[in-house]
Amino acid sequence: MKIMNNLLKTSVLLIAFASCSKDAAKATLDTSYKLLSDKTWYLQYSVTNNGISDSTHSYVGQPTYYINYRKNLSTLDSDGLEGTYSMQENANKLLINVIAKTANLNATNYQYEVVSLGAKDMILSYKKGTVSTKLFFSTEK
Amino acid sequence: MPLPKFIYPLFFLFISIFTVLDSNAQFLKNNLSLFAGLNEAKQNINTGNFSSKFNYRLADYQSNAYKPGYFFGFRLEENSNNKDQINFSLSYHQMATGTNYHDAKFLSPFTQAISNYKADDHFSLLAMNVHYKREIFIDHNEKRKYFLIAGPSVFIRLSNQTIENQANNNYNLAYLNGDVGAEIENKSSYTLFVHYKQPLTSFTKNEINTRLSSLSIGILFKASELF
Repeated sequence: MKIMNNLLKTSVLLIAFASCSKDAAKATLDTSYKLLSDKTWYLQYSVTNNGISDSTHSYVGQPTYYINYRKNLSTLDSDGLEGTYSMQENANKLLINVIAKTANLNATNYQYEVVSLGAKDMILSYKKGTVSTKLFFSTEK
Repeated sequence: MPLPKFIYPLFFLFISIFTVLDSNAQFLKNNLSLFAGLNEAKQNINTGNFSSKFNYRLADYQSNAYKPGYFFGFRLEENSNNKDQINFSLSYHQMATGTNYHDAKFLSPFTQAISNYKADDHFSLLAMNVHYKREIFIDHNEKRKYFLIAGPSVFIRLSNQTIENQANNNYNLAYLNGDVGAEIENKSSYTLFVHYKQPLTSFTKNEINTRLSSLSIGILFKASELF
């Protein structure tokens, strides 16, 4: 009978362990890094909105901008910008911050908001004045 | 995260049974059976209006197929010649599942179908089953008895959600099934069974409706035959 009691106690303990989950915000960031990192992302489309209408530009099948987000949190893009990146969640927005230097060592920092992030597709956005731009990246050329 | 409320009466039920049995080891020896077998499982998924910041190409995750796993456990049942019996069982299930998505989204101008939700496809589950068992006939030389079973069961998730699902805490801790099945008892020494578990509640929340159905094929031995 001890065996059955032990089985029951083990079941209760296992259920208690199963109910412990990671903090959701940390899980969001961990998932984001997992999906973003260790890949080269190729720009496929850009969609610009000037407040009145959308303008879509396709780069599919053409030489295009690309950026490599490495596992060690460094980054290098096709324009020669090299630096580091980090992700943060702020006011329910997921952001990518890049601190980089150009080939002639001029510092440049920029930030994108993540609209959607997947294992193969990613949409980033940024705003300059009244013009907002969405960048559609894919891991496939 | 608190346990779903319906778990507590079920635990109370099992604890009551074990407490009663504790005082009667002979009863246990005569009424305890051990079982094991293989299962096949699939999740049918409707994501509805669920959205998240993550996207997953359906071409990489769509799998309208049952996938194999295994289970083992023990069953308590009255050792009688009654045609109608009730039995209680507790079992551990290691499941791999196909993931069949019924709806898709598009991130235009991308053309691939995506989902904002990636279903987990491996689970460790604890099943608590209460089955009504009805003898339907005995073969002519009384070697085998044939039964039909039906009843509810609860699957409790023991494994953690993957990191992708922890972000939105998509999976419930437990879900309810309606079970039906057939059993063949061979001269009271072993029983072969096939049970189908039809989910009655969703395994997920956040507007995602996930129904994990499974088919179990196994063999059951009376403890008195084994020990």
